[in-house]
Amino acid sequence: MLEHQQPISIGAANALVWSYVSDMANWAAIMPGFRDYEVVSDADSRWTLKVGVGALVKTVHVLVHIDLWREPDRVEFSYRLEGEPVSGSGAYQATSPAPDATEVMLTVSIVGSGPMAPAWEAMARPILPRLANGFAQELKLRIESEHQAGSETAATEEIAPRDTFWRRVSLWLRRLLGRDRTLEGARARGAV
Amino acid sequence: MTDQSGDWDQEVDVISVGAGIGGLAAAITAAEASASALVLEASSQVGGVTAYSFGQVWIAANHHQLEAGIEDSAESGFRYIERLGMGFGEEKLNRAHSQAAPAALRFFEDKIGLQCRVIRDYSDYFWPDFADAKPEGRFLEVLPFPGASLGEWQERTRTSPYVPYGLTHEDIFGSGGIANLLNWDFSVMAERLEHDMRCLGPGLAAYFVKGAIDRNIPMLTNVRVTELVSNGERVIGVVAERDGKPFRARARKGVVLATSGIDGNADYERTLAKHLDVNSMIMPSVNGSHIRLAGRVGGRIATVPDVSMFGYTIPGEEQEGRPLWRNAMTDVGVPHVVVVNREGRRFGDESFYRSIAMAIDYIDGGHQTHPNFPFWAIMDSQAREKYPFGSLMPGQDFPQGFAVQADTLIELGAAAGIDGAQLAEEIERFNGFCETGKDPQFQRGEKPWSKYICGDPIQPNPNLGPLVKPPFYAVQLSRISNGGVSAAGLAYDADARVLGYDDRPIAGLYVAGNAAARLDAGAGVQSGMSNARGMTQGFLAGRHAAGAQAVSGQD
Repeated sequence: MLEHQQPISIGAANALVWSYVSDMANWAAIMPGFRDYEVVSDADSRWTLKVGVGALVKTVHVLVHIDLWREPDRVEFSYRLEGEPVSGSGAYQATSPAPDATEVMLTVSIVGSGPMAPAWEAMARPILPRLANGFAQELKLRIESEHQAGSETAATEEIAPRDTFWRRVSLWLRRLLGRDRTLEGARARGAV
Repeated sequence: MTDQSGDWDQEVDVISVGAGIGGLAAAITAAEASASALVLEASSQVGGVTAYSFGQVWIAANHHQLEAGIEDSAESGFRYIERLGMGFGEEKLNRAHSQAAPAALRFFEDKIGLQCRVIRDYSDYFWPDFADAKPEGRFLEVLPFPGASLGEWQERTRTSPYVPYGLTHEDIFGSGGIANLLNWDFSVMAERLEHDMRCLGPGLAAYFVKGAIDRNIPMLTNVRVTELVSNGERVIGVVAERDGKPFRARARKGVVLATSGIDGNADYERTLAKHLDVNSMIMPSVNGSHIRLAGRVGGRIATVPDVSMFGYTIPGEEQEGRPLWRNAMTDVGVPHVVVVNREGRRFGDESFYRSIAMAIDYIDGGHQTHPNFPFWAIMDSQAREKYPFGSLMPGQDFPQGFAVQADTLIELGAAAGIDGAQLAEEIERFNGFCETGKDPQFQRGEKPWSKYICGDPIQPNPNLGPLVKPPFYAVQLSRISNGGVSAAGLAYDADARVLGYDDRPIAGLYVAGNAAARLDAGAGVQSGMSNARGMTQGFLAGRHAAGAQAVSGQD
């Protein structure tokens, strides 16, 4: 078994971070090589990724199951690759050292099965840190961008009329398109 | 293009077009002779087809072989190639190569730190059948190369989608070879991959990339050369596309075409190599550009008899946005696998790829048909339990749509489009050969080379094993190009100068590696020759272009 731990320091409140990570589709979308995400059930999803293994690019389908969903700081999951003897598990653990800061520790393991398990794990060894790092960088970037956008929106609200027609349309569209991930959106969902 | 204007974006002495071993060897050699050099690469990475290969370098009478006490001579190597060539080669080119290759090897070991060793117990294709074949010594491989030493070029230097480049030949074949994947030491592979220690072809390519880096030779990627510039007397430069804009580079002493084969160009494959419907297994940027470039300045195209290879794609695998074609040459030579045509008949020695490949393109003149195309790999479940098939590991299910599966051979034939009754009869006969360990039809498993490359040493005949355990599988195979080793290329002289149709060299124009017609070897091929040709011809071209001492002694 291979295990990798990836720390992520995010310059945003844990509530905002949770509002982002509480949707599994957001996890899939920031995976390096993301192609598709399907909801299978409340706890299960199927991700399609294009993974680079050296010079080879391979499309893999990953079945992800949520084992634990503990708002607002911990997620545990397990996964397996369709058609490949590879599975694994992982955990997301968040802490809040300061009001506007969140420290996340992402743990991911890979287990090859069958007689070729050592081969799978050998090939995965250089890939796992790269994938985890790519995921971490993107997670940080997206949440901090939203945090900044949220702050700017809040600042604008100080001087803007509270509820114009266009503002209402904009909010409705954002909810419809599933992009209501601003601090305001989080507030609206009762996350903060 | 005839052009005498001085409007150049860059000026150097020698330009290499292509960043595989041939182009890099030429640039490095020119630089060592105090000439300035520039490498232009059409793709986004350097290393070329060399990096896709197993990295074998076949050189008769190389100093490692002689130091190990393995007797050989350049003359013996010359005679062996002469025998393989079947009269299609040219004696003077074979002789020039035989003499220059050991010198080129020493040169690069001395100058760029190339580190090679003999691949022990690895015989020439035709040992012991041909008098000048050798049981070992002519094949070399590199010692692991630290990828991190490439600096900013680490990610821009190709690795291979095909070969397990975390392991050496010694590692692989010391553990029982490709057929014994289950016995490999994957902890070594994991360690090397984690620290980017490159072996096989990626390692060989990386040594030469490092050689260029250390000499501050500019390597420009994503630069597609579209035309050669001539002043009416000699080639003086190139026109290229760089970032969508024209780029003109002057070559005061020479341009070396090292763009690999004609793979990826179906028209050239059909009309020059006589290969139908071939799929390229290498990077799309290899497409016969040397033929177009040299053709406009009078370069002569030459061909030798050669094969298209055979392979398949695995669903979901790709390179540079295209399906990845895998070569089946070792997959079909392991026990419990045979290759049959639509009649359900075997047609060659599956453990020696050239036997199968030559037969695929055979035309039955009496019926104007290709009797051995289409064709299939047939195997039983023992093969799936024990051996890999491309990247599909032993014990791993075939992906949906990859193979036809059935519990009997007759049903398998019906499902795949093969004569099932004849298939069952053919397999019964083959299984009888397995009992005796002798294949009187095609002598499968009798070549030591075959045993080494795809044999399972635990079998009485390492390449024979019966197909008896259902379910049975049929994988339809396709023609693929030969990984840059093409039947057609540019004619050249002993100093790697491109020849015109008047047999005179075109001043300022050179060729190296797979872009050069295989006139030194004629109808013959031997694993490791392509890398050796690239290195040697690049060496010859670089020296001659730079005005250094001509190794061949010919003008």
